Amino acid sequence: MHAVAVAPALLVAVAFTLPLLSLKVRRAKLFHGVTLATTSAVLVLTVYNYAYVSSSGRPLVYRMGGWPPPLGIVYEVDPLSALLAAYTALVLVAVVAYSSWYLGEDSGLPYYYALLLGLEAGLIGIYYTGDVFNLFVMIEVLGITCYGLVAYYRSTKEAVEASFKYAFFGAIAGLLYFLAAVLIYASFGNLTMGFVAAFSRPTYRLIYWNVASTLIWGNITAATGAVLALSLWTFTFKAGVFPNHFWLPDAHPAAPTPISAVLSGLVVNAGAYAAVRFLYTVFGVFDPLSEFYELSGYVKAVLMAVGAVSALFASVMMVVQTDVKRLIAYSTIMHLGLVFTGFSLGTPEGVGASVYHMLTHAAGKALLFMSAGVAIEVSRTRRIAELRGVGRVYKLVGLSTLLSCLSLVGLPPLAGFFSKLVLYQAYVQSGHFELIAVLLTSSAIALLGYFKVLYPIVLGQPPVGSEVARLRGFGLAAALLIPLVLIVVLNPPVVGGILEQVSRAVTDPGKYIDEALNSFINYVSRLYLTSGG
Amino acid sequence: MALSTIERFLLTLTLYNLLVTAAVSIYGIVARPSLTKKIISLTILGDSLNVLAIFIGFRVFSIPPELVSEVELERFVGLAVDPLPQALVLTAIVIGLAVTLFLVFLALQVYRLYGTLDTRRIRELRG
Repeated sequence: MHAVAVAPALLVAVAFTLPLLSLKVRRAKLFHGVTLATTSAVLVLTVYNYAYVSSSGRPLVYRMGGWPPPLGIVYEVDPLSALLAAYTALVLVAVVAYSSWYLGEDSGLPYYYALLLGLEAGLIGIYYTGDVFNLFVMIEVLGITCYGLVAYYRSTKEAVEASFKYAFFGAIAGLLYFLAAVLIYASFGNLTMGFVAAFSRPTYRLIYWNVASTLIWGNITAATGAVLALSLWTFTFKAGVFPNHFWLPDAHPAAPTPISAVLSGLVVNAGAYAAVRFLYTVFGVFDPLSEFYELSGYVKAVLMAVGAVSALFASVMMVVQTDVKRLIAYSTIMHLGLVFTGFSLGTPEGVGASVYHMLTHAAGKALLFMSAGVAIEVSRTRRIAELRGVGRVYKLVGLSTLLSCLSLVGLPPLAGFFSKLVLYQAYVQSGHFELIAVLLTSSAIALLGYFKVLYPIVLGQPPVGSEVARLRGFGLAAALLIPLVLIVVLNPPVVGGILEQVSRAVTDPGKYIDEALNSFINYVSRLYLTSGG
Repeated sequence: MALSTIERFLLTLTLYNLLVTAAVSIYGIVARPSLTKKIISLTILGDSLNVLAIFIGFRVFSIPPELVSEVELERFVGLAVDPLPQALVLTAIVIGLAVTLFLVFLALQVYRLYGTLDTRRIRELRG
């Protein structure tokens, strides 16, 4: 049970130790080793948590400092959060291995790894937390580490400008979410997700509860509408979806390549996850038993429009790019748009398909950024026309570019195909045929974009002798991710059961609420017994 | 305990004042070309939202939320201001400080690289 709290604490502790360590030790290998060991340990912990949660069938509740839920902060881990956290830890191990090749003996290494570990702590914190305000803190932890990493090359104009844009609008997004958290507190009287969820559903209303401050917020549905509008602004910003995507095509390319892989593959998922947690678990907008079911029409329309527009817009923008990293960044917007259309359906199938697509996209995108990064390093340019055919020399790079591109396009034997197929089935089941057109059109347009990347890297002019660098970290990263794309995620029979459990937990949060309430009741009853009452 | 007209007026005035300040700061963020002015507007927006949070936790005819002795528990529960929004605001202020410092550093770096903080000039220089 305590494994839940150990992961973020360990990451933050190591993150603060690394810069201190650099005062005494200067060997790059030490920092690579320590970071790889830490991320591996976190991988073990998160996988253990996932195994525990999925086998026990009940969410895990960890009380910070022993305080029970509505009073203290809790971590509440359900199958969705456990799955995403474990997956994040896995991809991050690959990214750290890749970083050890990419950055080598770079002088900023301790700070780079400190920020990267902080980023992982923020991500896992977002997934694990069961507290509305703690989510704000974790979003800010994730945010500030991302801004720092985007500005890692702080003497280049591009990185500084992109980071400023990202950080500035990120700060505004954080403020809006803060306002949403305060409104939740004003309307519901507490900040624990499980309790807010219980108050949102009349069937769970054990105690009479009234609006805390009738002076300002008289109407609970109006207040919740405001909360959803504000928090969805923040979550779509983090996810990089259409109206709030503007920072992404600047920030992702400006970062060092391993960070581009993390930002495009993992950080955007945090925004999508938070949106699902709020819409499905906390307020139950798509749950007929919920007080806020009447909002479902608006939320559905907004999510669908946002998702469809970003998928179509980004696929067109992809094709016209000349910078390889910008092209891949636009592809991220497209895929997250598709993920949001899946969430807009409000059905278990839609949620399962979107989570599946998040996973396949994360693996494919991280791998594509890493292999494109090798080509960029070797050819010393990001212009697609001048990229060298690295794939001719390094078969592994060529293979991983090919597989990741085809998986992102959605060609049959690869994982991306199955996630798009499941998404397609979810559209059909809920009768949204216009979304099928969006899915097919955006995929077809994006195909051109992916071939623009694929062709020069796999079949272009091979690099000349002096440009060839040694690839050690890439081997491990690719070795982890290729089977992930190919075998583990690929196979609907393997992930089918997992996704079904996840989508059931999301669309029917009864257990999530029960565990939070039980945690409180257990605490109170123990208090009552020990006081001799 | 009912509110008198003047108290109601003052509370409403405070609320609208905060909302107008937030709106003005959003104007500053969008419309001012200088990065420094944008950062200042951002901090004003943050502060007005923080005060709004305090305002939501405020109660009229209240006492400070400190429990002196257990005898006064009933009076405490009945009258004390809700301290939780204040704790939230404290956290938000600390986070805001960190983000603002980072933004100021980036603005300095922008000035070093471009020689200006005017967003219109920066866009021209980038080409």
